[in-house]
Amino acid sequence: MLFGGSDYTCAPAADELEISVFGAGFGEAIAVHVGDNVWTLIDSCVLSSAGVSAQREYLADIGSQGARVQAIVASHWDDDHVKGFAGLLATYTGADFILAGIFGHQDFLAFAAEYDMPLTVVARGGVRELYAAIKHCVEKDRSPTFAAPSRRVFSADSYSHGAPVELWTLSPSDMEVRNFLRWVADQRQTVATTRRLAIGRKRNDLSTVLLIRVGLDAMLFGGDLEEEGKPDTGWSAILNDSGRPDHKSDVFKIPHHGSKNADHPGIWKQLVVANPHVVLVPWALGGGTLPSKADVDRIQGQTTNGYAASYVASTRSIKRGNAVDKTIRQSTRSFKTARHNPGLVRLRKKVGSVGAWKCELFGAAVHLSDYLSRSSSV
Amino acid sequence: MTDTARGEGPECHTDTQHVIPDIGLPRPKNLTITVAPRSRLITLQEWEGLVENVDQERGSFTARLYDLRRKDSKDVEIAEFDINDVEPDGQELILPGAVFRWIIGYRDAVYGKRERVSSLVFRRLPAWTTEDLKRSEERGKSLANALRWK
Repeated sequence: MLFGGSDYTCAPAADELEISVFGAGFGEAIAVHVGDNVWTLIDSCVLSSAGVSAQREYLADIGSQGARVQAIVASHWDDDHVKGFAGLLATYTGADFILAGIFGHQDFLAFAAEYDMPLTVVARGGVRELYAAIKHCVEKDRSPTFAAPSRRVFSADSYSHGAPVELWTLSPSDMEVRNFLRWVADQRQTVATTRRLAIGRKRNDLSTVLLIRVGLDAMLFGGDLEEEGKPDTGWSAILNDSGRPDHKSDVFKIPHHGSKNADHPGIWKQLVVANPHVVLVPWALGGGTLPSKADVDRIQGQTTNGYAASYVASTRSIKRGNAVDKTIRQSTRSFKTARHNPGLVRLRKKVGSVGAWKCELFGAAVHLSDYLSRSSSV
Repeated sequence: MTDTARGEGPECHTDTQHVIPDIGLPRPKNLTITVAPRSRLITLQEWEGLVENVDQERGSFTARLYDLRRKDSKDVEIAEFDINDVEPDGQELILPGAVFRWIIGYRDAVYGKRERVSSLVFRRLPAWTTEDLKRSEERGKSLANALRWK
């Protein structure tokens, strides 16, 4: 069981929407229920010693083993979004696999193949997880669906609640794809260099943004898409796209852990309703943490309904005994630990109802107004 | 007993055997000399490290550490090290994505001296070869051609 609490194991009703956002300090995953025990899963992280994706454990915990997973989305390939992803895909064999089409380009796959070497004991690059997922598709003759700007990748109106369900991808833009291919070309190896692991790209401009509409309700999932102020990349490209669905979302998964460089004033004016429900997943890698205090203040300036799937528990090192602790201090300029601190923000609402979303917090999840007081080193 | 074969080898070896080469002098065949260990390393803590960033101006690099004594741990540890703390031959290997081992322990010399040590060892993983890169290229092409997109 991932979390405690008597309400935790309660599955959504057939006519109930659910957005469950999992976080742990490093790692994020999302499960969306659109009705009739049909789910869309976005990204993947591992929260427990079971070693499987959080969504898999969650669906078992709430008794939804018979769940029909309609789509699995890989927003991008950073380590904190893909752990357990290949296993998720292999488990739900009937699900559509949605990812940026560029991940099927021969140059990217050659790059991924170069780095697909088990030369380490524990360390793994995120690209290996995505590469395993693509190999799985080829081996199992499974056709992935490519994400592109303003592309409706799924629609159905056969749900018992009677509302039509649509999945749209809003990115990556053509310019992002070209930029990414240039980056991949720079990463290719040359003969006689020592093997290394693939390190993710610093800027997350290739991230897939997903919009799910269920009748009049809409939910926007920002992945890790960032903004650089250019009209044909990042959030600007989405806002400038006249082909995107003209519908404001009630729920918004904040991109890139709430960082300032993933925000754009147009998101709040054009893509989401006033005072939306927003969820962010904090990120802590050693001493670096997101969101910052300024990020929290900025987001709270837009909505009072903000939540964080986790908080930064501690950056203090684990105690390993005097000799080791003393040597760590003497041998490093800095040494920081981001403690695994899993939590879940769960939002539920009857399809088409005018009432507010019901929000439940499990584990380390907190209301955004409590985030700073609960976190250390922010 | 002379010990010309001993040289100045790595101190962390515990036992070493050297076979005397046959140089035509009258001596028993298959003579072996067991060299007493000079020191032994008692490992207290060990990580696998992955270089995330190198800052030449600061003379340091930042790495994500994977605790090999707590492999199931999901805590994430990050450390910044001085480049000069890596042996000179290993410094050229400090690049983003490079893998290394960090060991903390006691080194016990034969005659009782003990010192606490921290050792950063960059692994010279097998280098990419022309064949490796060609194989990756072909693998990428073959997967891309086999994928049928919707």
